[in-house]
Amino acid sequence: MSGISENWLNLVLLVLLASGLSIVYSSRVEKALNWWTVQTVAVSLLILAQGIYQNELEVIFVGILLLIGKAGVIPILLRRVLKESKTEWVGEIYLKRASSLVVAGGLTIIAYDVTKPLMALPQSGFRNGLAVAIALIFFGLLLMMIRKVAIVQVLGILLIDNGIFLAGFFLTQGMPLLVEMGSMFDILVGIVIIVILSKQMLENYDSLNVDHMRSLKG
Amino acid sequence: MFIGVAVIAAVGMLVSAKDTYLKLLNSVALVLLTLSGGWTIRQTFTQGSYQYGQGILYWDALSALLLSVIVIIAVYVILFSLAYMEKEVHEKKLPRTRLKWYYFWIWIFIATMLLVVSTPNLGVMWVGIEGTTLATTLLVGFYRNKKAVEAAWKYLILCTVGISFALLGTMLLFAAAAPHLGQSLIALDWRMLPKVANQLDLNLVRLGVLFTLVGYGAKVGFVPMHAWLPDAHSQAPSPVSALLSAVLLNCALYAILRWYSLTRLTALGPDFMGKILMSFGFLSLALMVGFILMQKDVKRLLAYSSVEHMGILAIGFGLGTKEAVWGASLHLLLHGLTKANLFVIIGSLVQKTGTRQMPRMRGIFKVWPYTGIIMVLGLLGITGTPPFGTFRSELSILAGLYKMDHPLLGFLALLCLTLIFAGFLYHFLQMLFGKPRESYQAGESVSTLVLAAPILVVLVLGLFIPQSLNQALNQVVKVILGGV
Repeated sequence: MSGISENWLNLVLLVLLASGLSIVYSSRVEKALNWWTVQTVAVSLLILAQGIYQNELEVIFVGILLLIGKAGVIPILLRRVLKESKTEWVGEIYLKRASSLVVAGGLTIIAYDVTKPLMALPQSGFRNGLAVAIALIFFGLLLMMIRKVAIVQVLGILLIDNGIFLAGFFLTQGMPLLVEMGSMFDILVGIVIIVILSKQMLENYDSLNVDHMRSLKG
Repeated sequence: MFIGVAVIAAVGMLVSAKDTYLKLLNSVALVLLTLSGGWTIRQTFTQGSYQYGQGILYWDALSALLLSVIVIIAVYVILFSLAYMEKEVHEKKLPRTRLKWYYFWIWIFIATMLLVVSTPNLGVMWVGIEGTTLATTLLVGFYRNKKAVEAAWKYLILCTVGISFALLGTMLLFAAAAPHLGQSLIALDWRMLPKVANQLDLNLVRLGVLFTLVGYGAKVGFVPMHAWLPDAHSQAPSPVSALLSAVLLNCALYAILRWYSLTRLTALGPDFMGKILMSFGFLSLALMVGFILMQKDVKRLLAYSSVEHMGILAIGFGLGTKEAVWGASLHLLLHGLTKANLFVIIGSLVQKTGTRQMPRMRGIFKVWPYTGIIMVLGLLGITGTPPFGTFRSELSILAGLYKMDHPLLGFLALLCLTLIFAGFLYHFLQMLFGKPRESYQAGESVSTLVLAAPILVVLVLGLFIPQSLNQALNQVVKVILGGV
């Protein structure tokens, strides 16, 4: 990446990784959501900076879309659901916050390890970037497995989405615009549908705890 | 063009929920869909390929096969929907105003599937497949009761995560292809990719294939990613289950096939992805035996049977011989027809009896003889009994297994199929005979037999395959085995 200096890139990566870990460590949904917003803003700033340095209108456009669509609209929608359902606790069932942080740390190391063979990438900054991206995907999966509140599972999906977006950015310097826009549109519609579904869940179960939903088996 | 028809129809559905309005609009949309779709299919098969708008939309034999499945089943299911949903409203299970949302999502669902099979771009295909998930979530949860919401939630979460893996896979492929084809849409175009296939970076492609297979595999319902499938199929309104099972699964499989025909050309060799597909196939087939034998819920029974058939398809395509792929392509079409027919007839049965539990359905033959006849036909069709077409296609796949020197696998597959046949026979015979419940309202008109149209086609195709269909299938085989 000509443009953003190694130092700046490392700083952004630090923010990304730290916010990822903070989401795993949060015990309140609202805080986790805030951390996710911080992370998404960081991702879109990274992409904006890249676009401005390289003078590529397409990349700038994706960055702006990301900033408005994901960092702007999604937290508002999710916060509304949280308020309505009066959900605060993230629903730590299998792992408490401290031990989940340890697991997340372990996952980060694994992420560095699995990205080794792909490391034909030119700069060391990219290598770090890809590893952080894979780590975020792992965090998302972890979150979905160990937390029992519907909205936190959604945060897991969003975390995975950020990770995949970053991975795409470091691997390919941005997918074609049409595909980027399509995937972003899908995520936005997905969140709207999730909001509708959680409202129906509230009507039926009076809470967003997915542990109540165990009737379908066999 | 027909994507436009579907989207316009979807928006049009929102205008009013009056019975006559919906019937009229749906019929017009269906006629337009059949005409434009049929024309495209014809052009594709006669010319080998067909494009629209300078190649933005592009069809070859494989896409045309899927397109025909979508169009045929969409017409059948929506026509059935008109009667079925009207009855649901009549029985006060749903308020009338919700009907417009039902048709809106159904048409959006059809539009996204049409997009999947019409684009020559693996990235846009991903967008379309994710779109199908979103369009169907609210249909799965349409009854808004506890179970429906649970099923919809499971479906959305599992499939979204799965699909995001497929996006990662697509990105890896893009990273491998971009140095050769440039940083643009072309690098994901399956018409261009085969030309550079043997120059692609192997590490990236291998990882990409794995991610994509797991991702789209979740959507196809391969074991062990099938957990969402029986829930979603059993809770959705029956016409939606028919669409999910007969078309959506095939669409996801189509995405995998596109990757498959591409990876066959890379330095990974033809067997790499084929072997994984076959493992998924056998796992799905073998595990479903138990679920089918022990099942009590009739719609779940059909859902598990879909997983089983996707397994058979994966075996056939994964095997990669001409004969097996021919059989699998035929089976894709026939399974779609048979399963749609079964879901429709079982759906109307569930509506009449008010239960999905098989032990509570008895003596169907005495009360509703025509429904009974169609059920028997469906039973024989879905289990691949001669002389139905499904027998022919399954036989072709099994013969492929033996020819490729996998006698043990062939035996295992046959054993599973036999057990599944036994399970189906047991369940269906119990439902068909015995003493009917008193609450049943007997009597139905002969017109019920119209519903049997798809299964009769399957029957005819078992007796003889017209030259044109055979040629079309051979074209499909060529596309899958030889790239584009």
